[in-house]
Amino acid sequence: MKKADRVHIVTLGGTGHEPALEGFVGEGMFDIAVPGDIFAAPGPAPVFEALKLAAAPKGALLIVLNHAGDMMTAEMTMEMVADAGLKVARVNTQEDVSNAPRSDSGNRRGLVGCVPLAKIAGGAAASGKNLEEVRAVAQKFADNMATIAVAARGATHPANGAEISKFGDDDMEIGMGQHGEGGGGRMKMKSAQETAVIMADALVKDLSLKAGEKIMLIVNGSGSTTLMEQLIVFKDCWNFLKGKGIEVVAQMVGEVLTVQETAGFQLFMARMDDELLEYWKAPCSTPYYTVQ
Amino acid sequence: MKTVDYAAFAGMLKAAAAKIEDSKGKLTELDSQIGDGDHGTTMAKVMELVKETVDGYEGRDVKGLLSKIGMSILTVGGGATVPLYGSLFSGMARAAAEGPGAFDAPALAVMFESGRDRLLKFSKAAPGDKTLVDALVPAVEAMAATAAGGADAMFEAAAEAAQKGSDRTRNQVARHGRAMNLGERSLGIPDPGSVSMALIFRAFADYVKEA
Repeated sequence: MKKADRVHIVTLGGTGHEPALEGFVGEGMFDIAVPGDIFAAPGPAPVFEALKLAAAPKGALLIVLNHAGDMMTAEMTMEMVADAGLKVARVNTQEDVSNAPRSDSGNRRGLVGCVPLAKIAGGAAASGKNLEEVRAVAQKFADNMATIAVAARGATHPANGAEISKFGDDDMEIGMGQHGEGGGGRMKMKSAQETAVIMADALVKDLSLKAGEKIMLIVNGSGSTTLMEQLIVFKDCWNFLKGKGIEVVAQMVGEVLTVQETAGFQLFMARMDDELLEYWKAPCSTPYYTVQ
Repeated sequence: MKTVDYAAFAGMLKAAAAKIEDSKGKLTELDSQIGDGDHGTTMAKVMELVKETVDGYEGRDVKGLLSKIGMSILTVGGGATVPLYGSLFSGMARAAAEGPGAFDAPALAVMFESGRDRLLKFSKAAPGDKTLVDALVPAVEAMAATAAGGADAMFEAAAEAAQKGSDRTRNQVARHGRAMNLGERSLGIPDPGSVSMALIFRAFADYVKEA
């Protein structure tokens, strides 16, 4: 890791979701991503080592996706961090609207939102903000993001071949977890446009978005949804939002956080303001995302 | 066996590792119905590390061994299983007396209570949430209740309580961990983490009985 005189951004998480998380390690996003096994968090020991590297001199922000293993590893690591007197702050991502209401966000899973969060936190860190300021910006974004997922075919576990989630040929499910654990409602297959509108509407309601507000919109392919299909969904969401007077000021379409060969996508929205937009647009250079 | 010395304790741990290795396929099959299909491989990896740590440990004290196991588990990737078992073993180590002496049943019960408490601190799951806690908590309670009868009777009671607790998870709706997202659909399937925990206590009981 190239050490810089600024706050460093660290995350942890299971693999099998490429390019996330490791593909976004570089200038302006994650400084370190500690990988676990496939779909499984790393143990606390390597995360502690990463934070020892990252915490000096200006402190480190640890971004943790809300999944049982990731959270437990983070809890244990933070205990080790406190014993060692390291300067570390933490932000959890918990944005899946399908498995708990906003009032119970501790039970919401972290999905693709960790990636734009890293971009914004990285931008804030690069601007010279101190640890508390970087944490506050990251928390503001985290509090204003929402994701919903859909899948029509689950993944198989790459290591043991186990089939995670079984679907009928004509079934789909809105509200899949990160790993294909079921979560929301099963239904008969709908058109891309109908699906996009159901999902976009759920996010608009969850975030209480009003006409005149500015948002980030991401369509994240889960593994075997084509880019053309993702762009169709993006267009349908854009039109839906336009009809409501909501302006898309930041966007991404593509495979950001995948789940092996899952057929489906995650739809992400976040409320934006001028500060968040400035850090989103700040330069970055990582293998899978670059802003010049 | 009424008390457990270092060699017997090491034997118990290796017996548990062997039982998990034998059950790897079954655990994975179970987990693919309710989780993400990796519980068998993860448990086998964690318990293989336990076995390797036992084989490589040069001291003859249970406290040092448990502490070393707890630390080595924390280095591997295995999702929730890693901090859970890491905290269980390191919690047991905290309550174990130093030195090479043997442990009587009440001392073993206290050791397991300490492991349970440290695990619960991180898991945040309560009994009834359909997790490994549903096997561990009744097993440790059974130990405390039966410790007066010696180690063999105590571990047998623990193994039976763990199995009953795991069986009960079939009728529970998951409220913690990944299966939580299935809600009612988790009914009818036992929690894989409770199944592997019950297997470990069964291996302990069988080993102590035969040794």
